[in-house]
Amino acid sequence: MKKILTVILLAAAAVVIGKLVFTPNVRPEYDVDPKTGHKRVIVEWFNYATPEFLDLYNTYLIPEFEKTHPNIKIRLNASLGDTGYEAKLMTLIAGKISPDIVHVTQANFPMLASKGILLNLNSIVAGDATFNIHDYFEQVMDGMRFQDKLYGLPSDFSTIALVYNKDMFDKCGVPYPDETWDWPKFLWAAKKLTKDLNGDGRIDQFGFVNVNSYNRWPAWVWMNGGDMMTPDLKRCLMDDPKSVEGLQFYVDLSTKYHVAPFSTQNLGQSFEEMFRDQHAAMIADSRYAYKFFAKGMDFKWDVAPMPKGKACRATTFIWGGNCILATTKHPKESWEFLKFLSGYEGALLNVKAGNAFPAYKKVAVSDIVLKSALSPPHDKVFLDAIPYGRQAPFPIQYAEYSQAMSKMDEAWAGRATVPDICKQFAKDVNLAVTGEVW
Amino acid sequence: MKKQKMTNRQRTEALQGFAFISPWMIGFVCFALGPVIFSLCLSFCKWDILTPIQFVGMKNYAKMVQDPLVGKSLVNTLYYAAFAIPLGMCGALGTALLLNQKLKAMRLFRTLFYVPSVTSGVATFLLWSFIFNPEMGLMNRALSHKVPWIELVNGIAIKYIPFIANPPKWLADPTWAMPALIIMSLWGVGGGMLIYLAGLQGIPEELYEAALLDGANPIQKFWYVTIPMLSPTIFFNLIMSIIGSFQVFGAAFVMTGGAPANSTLFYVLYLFQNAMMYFRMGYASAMAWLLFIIILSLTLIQLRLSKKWVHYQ
Repeated sequence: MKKILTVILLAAAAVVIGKLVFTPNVRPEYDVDPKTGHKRVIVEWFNYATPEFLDLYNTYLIPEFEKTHPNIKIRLNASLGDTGYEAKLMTLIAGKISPDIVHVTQANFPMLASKGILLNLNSIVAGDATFNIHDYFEQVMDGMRFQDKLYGLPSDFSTIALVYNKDMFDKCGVPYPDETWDWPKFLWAAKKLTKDLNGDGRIDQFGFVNVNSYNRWPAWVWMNGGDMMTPDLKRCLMDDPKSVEGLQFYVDLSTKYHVAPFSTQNLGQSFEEMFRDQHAAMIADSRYAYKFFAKGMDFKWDVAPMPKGKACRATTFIWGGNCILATTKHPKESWEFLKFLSGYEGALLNVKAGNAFPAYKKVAVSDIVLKSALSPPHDKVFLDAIPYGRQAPFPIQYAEYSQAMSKMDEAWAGRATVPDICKQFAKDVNLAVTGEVW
Repeated sequence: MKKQKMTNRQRTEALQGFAFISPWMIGFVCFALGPVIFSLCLSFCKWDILTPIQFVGMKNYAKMVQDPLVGKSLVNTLYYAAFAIPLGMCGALGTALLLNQKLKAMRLFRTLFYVPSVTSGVATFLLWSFIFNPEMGLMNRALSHKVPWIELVNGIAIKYIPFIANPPKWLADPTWAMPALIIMSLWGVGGGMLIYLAGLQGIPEELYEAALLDGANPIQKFWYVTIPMLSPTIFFNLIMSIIGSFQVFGAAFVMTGGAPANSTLFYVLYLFQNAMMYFRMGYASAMAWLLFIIILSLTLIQLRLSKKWVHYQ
């Protein structure tokens, strides 16, 4: 009797475990609207959001969309914070419970696009008469292209411009930056603004802050007529004398002229905190910083265009947007929501949340953005910079390219010369783009 | 000899035993042994999570030999271990000896020294980032503090000059980032200290009394009584710190991400980057197995060597 019982119990346990292990994960594809009894397609949207954003999504954006689209139900799958966001997304895809739409930024888009997991929107865009791609800033839209394919729609963006402390300029007798500024003028001002205020032999007010990030330094290379890659992404151009000279000037601000401390996010004080705490007179920053500035900056500040280089003006973009995953079973419904997120309603949400500029032109240039409570006098500078803004390139060998870039820190630390670093970078990248993707 | 048959009672007991440990067994098989075997198989494959697993033979291992970052991250890890282990061991033993005195409020001191090692890792890492900030950080403020300097050129003059005029840029400088992390590692000596303290309290008082009668001075007492009696504890701490140093990850992950110029790219951090940033699961698995082999052989060498210097009572 006992034996039989044991056998039955063991068999039951085996069945349960086996069921747990071998049942494929499924996520419901349809539900029924409790109010109308309609069958609805569930579109899952994966993003990372701060609690205040989640609140806006749940109380404003999603209900608004579902009102006009009774056949679609939006399910929000939010990962709190961006740590491990990509890994979590990959796990969802590997577990075959992938979402339909994912939130991306300029930082993770190249990696996701290079993996081939995003849906190519070229034909969908061409076939949708209600969608006009010219409602968006072309240069921002360009950020969501990878190898000539459009993989998503941007929802919010900003260019990078000079944010400066007016009080500091007044105190040092330096005229405010304007569109006449070129590199020599910028350097002259930065030198005048760099000071040891308490006479302890250490500088405690800098003209500028040098940020070693891929959404900052490329602008200085472009300003000098250089570039990172050829347009077909087959060859690296950082060993070109023009590229070297551009980067050299940027790095020199730190290592030769000592007017800008080197800053990475992990040095305990970010460049934005240095500006807020009045340790830096100018920083190159985006409009996303306004929210941070809104808390406790008790001095007058404004924005101005980036200085003009030898060759041209240039700036980089920071943006956020959404993509449809190639694995989706409901591309049509997903596309509807994607349009909504980036369209008029999505644009209004971004304004409400104080999220830089919406990518939707009509709202971005309107007074609700440019005359917002946070706006400094020359807020429009960010928009005026769009025509000369560019997206820094990424080849499909994303990992190798990032690794090659990590060696460039040596130049900022003054441990290697800029020409040597550029040569090494070009060598690494050229080797990587000819090799297989591992 | 004939094998004895289990009695019914023995069999029931064995079954019950297995039943009682089954929660652990199931957990171990599903969440430890399974993944371990899976990662061994993966190390011979190419897999980016999304596309099907593809068998590539020894290619991952061959690629590891060519990958300069594998070598670099191993050297970084050894560099860290070579300084952090001895410093940490001596620091922990030193503090334990001090805290083993019979003084008033000793419990308070013990708590104070132990507290840092129980504070959350990320919080301390952020704190140390502040301390190491090149311009505004506490460390460089202190190092460049002005000190009096007597000049004997024309008579005697006292000048105030910075103690160190150009202090290192710590985490921003490829040369100084690793020393910064090593200095920071001393923050956690409390864990080892506690184990030493327990070991010290286990040494019988008679041994010291006997040594005293033989005319031993404090240094001799330490060298001929404390150290041999403490050797099993030292051995345990040594093995744990070697393993810990080879798996060091959090500090670099939070504070530097391997930067600047890969100077703090530890082996496990690079492994993690390959797995979770670049999604080269096969390659990362191969790296994990290399790490396993390294740690296993180091520990075996330790065990072999330990026979020479570890005394068990």
